[in-house]
Amino acid sequence: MKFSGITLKGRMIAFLAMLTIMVLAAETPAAAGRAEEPQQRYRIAVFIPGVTAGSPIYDMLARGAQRAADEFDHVTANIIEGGTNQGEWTGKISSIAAQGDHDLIVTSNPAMPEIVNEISQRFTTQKFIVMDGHLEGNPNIYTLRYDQYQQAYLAGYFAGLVTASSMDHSRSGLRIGLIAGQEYPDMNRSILPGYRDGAQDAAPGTAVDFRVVGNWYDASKGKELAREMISAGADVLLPISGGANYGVLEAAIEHNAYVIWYDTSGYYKAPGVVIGSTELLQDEATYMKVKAAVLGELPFGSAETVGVEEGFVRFVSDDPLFEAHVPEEVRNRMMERISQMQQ
Amino acid sequence: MKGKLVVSLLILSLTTLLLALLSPEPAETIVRFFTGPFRNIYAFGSFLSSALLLVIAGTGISICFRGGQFNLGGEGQVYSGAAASLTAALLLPLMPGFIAKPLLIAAAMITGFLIAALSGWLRHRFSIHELISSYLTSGALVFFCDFLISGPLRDEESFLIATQRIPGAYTLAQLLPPSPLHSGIFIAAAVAAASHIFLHRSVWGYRLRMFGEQSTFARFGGISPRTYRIMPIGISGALYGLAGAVALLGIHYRGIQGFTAGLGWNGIAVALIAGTSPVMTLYAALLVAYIEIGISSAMAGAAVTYDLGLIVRGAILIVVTLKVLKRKQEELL
Amino acid sequence: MIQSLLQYTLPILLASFGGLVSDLAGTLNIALESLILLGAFVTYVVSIHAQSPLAGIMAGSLASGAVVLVFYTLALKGRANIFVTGLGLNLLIPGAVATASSLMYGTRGVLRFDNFPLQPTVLSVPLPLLFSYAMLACIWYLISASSAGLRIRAMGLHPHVAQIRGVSPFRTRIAALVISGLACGAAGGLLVLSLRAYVPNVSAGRGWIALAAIYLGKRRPWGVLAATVLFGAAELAANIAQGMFALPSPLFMALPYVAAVTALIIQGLISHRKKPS
Repeated sequence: MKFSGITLKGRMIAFLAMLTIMVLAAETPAAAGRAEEPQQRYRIAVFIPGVTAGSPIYDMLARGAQRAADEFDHVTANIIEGGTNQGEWTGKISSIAAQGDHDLIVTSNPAMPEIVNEISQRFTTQKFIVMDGHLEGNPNIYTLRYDQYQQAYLAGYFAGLVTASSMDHSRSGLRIGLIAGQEYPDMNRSILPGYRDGAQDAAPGTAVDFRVVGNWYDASKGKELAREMISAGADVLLPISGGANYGVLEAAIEHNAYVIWYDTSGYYKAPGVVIGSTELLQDEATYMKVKAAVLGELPFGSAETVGVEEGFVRFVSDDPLFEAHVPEEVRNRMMERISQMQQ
Repeated sequence: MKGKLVVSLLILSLTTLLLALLSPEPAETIVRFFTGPFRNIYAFGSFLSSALLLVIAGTGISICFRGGQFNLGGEGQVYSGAAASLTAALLLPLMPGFIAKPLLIAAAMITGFLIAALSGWLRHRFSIHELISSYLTSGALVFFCDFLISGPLRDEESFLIATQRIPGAYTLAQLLPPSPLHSGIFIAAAVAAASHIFLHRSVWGYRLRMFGEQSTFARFGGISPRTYRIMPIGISGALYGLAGAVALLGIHYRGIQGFTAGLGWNGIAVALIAGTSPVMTLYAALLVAYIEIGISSAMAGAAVTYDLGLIVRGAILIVVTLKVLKRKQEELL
Repeated sequence: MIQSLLQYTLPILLASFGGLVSDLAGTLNIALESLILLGAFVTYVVSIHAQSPLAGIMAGSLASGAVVLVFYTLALKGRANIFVTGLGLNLLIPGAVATASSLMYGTRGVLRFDNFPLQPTVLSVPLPLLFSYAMLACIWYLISASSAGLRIRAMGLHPHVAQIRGVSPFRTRIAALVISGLACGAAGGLLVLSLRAYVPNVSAGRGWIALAAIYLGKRRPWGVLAATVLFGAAELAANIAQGMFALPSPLFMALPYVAAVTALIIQGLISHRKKPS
């Protein structure tokens, strides 16, 4: 027993010695390599706080940044998926910043500004662009926020019009639904109120049935909840629940209800069932801002908010499926409201 | 020892093979994997800081195994421990750090102990398998902690689902800024040493091991089955709770929804690789942390990073208890 | 209402019955959760390629059975810990499925194709449903009335006696485990056929609930049936209650787990009062 203890200690020391050697070995070539590289090389890391698959917002972020990078010979974009656990984001972005070889880190999420701001205290030369978030005053961070209240308002206004209309599957009673993956600040502060207010303005007295799946993937539960809401009288559903959206969609198809798609155009997913879509032009916005950063024209330290007026938040009204499945009267009232908002 | 080496080599070569298969640039990926934790100070500090949490969690589970029990509730116990610590830190009046830190750590350990001990007691009293009951209580507790962080303790200003920060005086000292390495490393060392003494130099440890190997025989020897059904799994719960508190006080400084996720499962992996000896948990924790950091460094930018991490972790669990890889005296599980 | 209950209960019941067979043989398969996921993925892929949901669910079932056969053979022959192997599968399979999905379709996310061979009406899955019911009936018969079932039970209760009586431990156990794999695969198949889409992580904890149901049902088919219906009712009640009360949603999520633990304790209390030890 004692002998094995000694050899174990010996092995531990050898292991630690090996670690030290590896630290030295790893540090040197990296440093040497950087000196030889041409100075103008501009490297972008795109940090996805989640996964791109099935998440249009992040998919658009990645595409927008990639498109900007592709326009320059010396710019590369590296897309890094950080997973959905918020507790790991700080560590993961820190480790990108610690490598020190990315000129710019681009990310997107309302929660990101405070995380990035904290990291920025430790890594003081790193530049960040945060889309869909808001923070003013840190000279290394530029943020652009979408007006989520407006997007939800558009969806709610349309849902109100539909539930009050005489469309085939619109039933008596003013009741619409919102199904969220989880409750989060933007949901409670902007999206739910926006959806409610929109519906009220379109059809006063409309009740909003709000339910939560509990995660972003249990599609069977999404389907169950949607079915429950439909049988409780809701005829228009807005799912904002990731993969579980597809369960909601399936329930709507089976039980003759309508669905509004959020963040990206979804008409093609189920023609005649998905009858409305709102979208954020995140790809366009990301492309513009990243390009400006590469050219040195982006005002780091400032924050912007964009909405319907600027054209980055919109209701998708130019899809043939929208025209085919929504009666003219409803379309006209929707377009009327949109043009009021654009002024 | 030879068995451990074989297992480690097997795991490392399996990981390398998978990396090579899934990467568009195998050579660079493999180099990045092996140098991952050593690329800069930050990476090295994160490597040690995740290893120290694994030492704490893994030691508990390995004691639990020695007592012949299985605790599948790690995820809930770590999270609850952290949540208990957090609640105390935010709601109790401000105290000096030297009083607050032991208090917060004790709160976490007691919480973890009680949760896990419940499963041991259910096993003793009602013959409900602790495997099932610990998993189910953990499932409910994860949601309860989510509720605490997203509800009563929530910082209304933040867009994260997170609480306010704990007072600065309560945090563990930074050892290697800007990396997250903190003085919790001494806690981990103390846990490893104490568990060795407990298992091999104390009468309770002797009884616990005896009960784990032959519960009927141990009962004839006058060992109380109730105590030794509750103690091993209770200790693992307490150390899971401790790991949660250390993650809170040393790394995050605030509760964020799901911030301790994964530690419960990884603790089991560490204990399995380590096998019977608490000293070996040090080695196993370093190995598991190395692989985690290495993979994320190697596959930065590739979409398969997380899947690969899962595959490797799963493969570790599948090969690690194969008896063909081990010598006879190491056969416990 | 009854339809909702059935839709929630049937996949869990299948997985639970499968798990029960493995448990009776003394080798509880705790990888039900991931085997459901694997069955779901394979069912979707084969349904699309063969343009037949029945072929899909059969393939899903076989795939999970095959994975069980390979890995548990390794575990039994290598005398590994069967729980740990199960935990390993629970990590390995989701990773492998996501990797396969991204290699085959370029995405590790939702799979949803227009040419899915099922119409979106409520009663459109008769063949796969029939297949599932047949499987349930077979397992029920196997457990409670067949001689093979007796051998499996004997192996679980008194392995040494069974062995002396000429029952092969390896063959009996691997057969029981493979049955659990087949059942879970079919359970996953039911999930995707009802969604007409594959969504990552679609099993969403159902395998664990199925495990709890085995113990809650006191390891008897009738009991397991009652337990899964109870869980189904709890889930349904939580869904309905969400629309009526403004309780914080995470507390609703915890409900099925709380119900499971409470039910386990109550059941323990009752059975211990009957025969004091």
